[in-house]
Amino acid sequence: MSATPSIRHEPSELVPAGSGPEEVSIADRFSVRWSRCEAAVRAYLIAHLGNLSNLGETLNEVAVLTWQKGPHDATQEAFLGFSLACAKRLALAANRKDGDTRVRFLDPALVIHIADEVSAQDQRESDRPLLQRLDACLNKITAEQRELLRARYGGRGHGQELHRLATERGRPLDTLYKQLERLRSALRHCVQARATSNP
Amino acid sequence: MNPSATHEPDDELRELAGRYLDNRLSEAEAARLNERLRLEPDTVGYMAGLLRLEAALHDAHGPHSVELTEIKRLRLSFGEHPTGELTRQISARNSGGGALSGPLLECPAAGVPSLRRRFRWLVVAILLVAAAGTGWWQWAQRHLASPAPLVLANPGFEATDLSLTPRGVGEFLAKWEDTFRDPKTTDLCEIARVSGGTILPKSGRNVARLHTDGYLIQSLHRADGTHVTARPGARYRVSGWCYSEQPESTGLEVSLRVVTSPQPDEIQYQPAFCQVPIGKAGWLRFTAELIMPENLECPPIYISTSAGSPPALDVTGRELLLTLDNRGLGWLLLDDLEISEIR
Repeated sequence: MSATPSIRHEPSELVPAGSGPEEVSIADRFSVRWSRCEAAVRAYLIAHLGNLSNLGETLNEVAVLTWQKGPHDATQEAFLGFSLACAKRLALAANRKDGDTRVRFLDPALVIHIADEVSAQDQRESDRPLLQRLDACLNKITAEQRELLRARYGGRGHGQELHRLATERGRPLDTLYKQLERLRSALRHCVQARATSNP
Repeated sequence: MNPSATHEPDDELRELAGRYLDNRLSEAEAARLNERLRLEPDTVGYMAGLLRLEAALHDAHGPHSVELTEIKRLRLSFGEHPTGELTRQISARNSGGGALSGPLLECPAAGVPSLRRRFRWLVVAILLVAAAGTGWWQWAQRHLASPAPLVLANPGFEATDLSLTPRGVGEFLAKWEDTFRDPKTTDLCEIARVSGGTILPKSGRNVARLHTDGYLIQSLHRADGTHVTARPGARYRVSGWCYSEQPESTGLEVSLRVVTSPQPDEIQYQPAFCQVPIGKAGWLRFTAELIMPENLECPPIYISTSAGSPPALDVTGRELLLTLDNRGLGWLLLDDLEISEIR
């Protein structure tokens, strides 16, 4: 899966140096704006896409389209709105292309609401990036749990990888999904605890 | 942290959210999850937190960054009718490994100051050359009084880089109208990869693939950005490369259209039209001549059922769009399209 840089680089790091060729400052402005709204776009795509192996490709297409046609000089809200509108269309197109009819969709109005909340949470926690905290939490899990996460999030089709792992471990697939749910819950508590404690 | 983000879910919500993330919700479960999200505001914060964690987990196990590359090319043609053409090519690719401690972002922002310093003079030099070229071009335009030449944007379909996509197929046909087209009828192909090396593009990597009823459409404009409007007797030549494996069932049509109403109540007029004969399998260089009639009062040719019965219209002075349609039974490929005005 791919991801864009917002989690690694906070907006303050991306503020342009000031003077320089016009093209570079346009790119700077775009980077700042994209990094601020990318988490919301990604969450939106995760909520909308039937096949998450399309996440990276679709996210790239949203970025390209926003770079080419987005309102670079409008407000951050307008920029986010444009990106989300692109994400919606491209996610629907990706689902159509895959012929994906599985039920995984939330109410579209709710998805917008959730994407706003994702963006707001990102802004509130900008001094302690989520990925850094997750990095620390992942260092504490067992090798078996790490393998489970790799099967779920590392490949291009998590279903096949989990099937393979279930066969290898001689356990029902449902058991692995239960383990995954518990692991996600533990990681969630871990990153929350690190948001309020010292590094 | 906002209280809603730390909202502790009950067992039902935790299970529903987990099944949602793993794409294992039944219809009844999806309805229940939607209901709880609507009725209990705190659950939205919980769900947003989960999606952020989900996105971070994907990030931690996959490539890290997206790199947008934009290349500007200024092409100057000298001779009796000097012309200039500025084109932009934009591509995106992923980079980075799976480790959380992997390399940092490569982006044109302050994250890589040393690179910026190194290339600043190069960027300045390119801009100066571009400015000089643009100035010369404007001077030539003023002194030559003839209108700027017609240009097509993204005529070779190379504005999007598919090289790192898994299948070499994309539906994003940059610069062509209807960005969110139906991918079942028209898409972008890195054809050498898609065909397993049996078909090679005429240039670059990409071609446009038109299945039956697929089409490409672009607003007709000149190199100085002005739109081309319909005028009686004007003549245009469209050329390019077309690939077909079954020439007898291939139907390539090139036309100039005027769209007075977009979808859903679509009304289109077609003042000029040309059917392109495809005489052999494989790549074929085609040329289509489009001649605007002296009388530009045309009947509507494409009408949505909801648009009623629009009357014939004199399209003089209205903006023209170039359309390439596949009316045949099989797919065809297009590459390196060109357009010019016959004087």
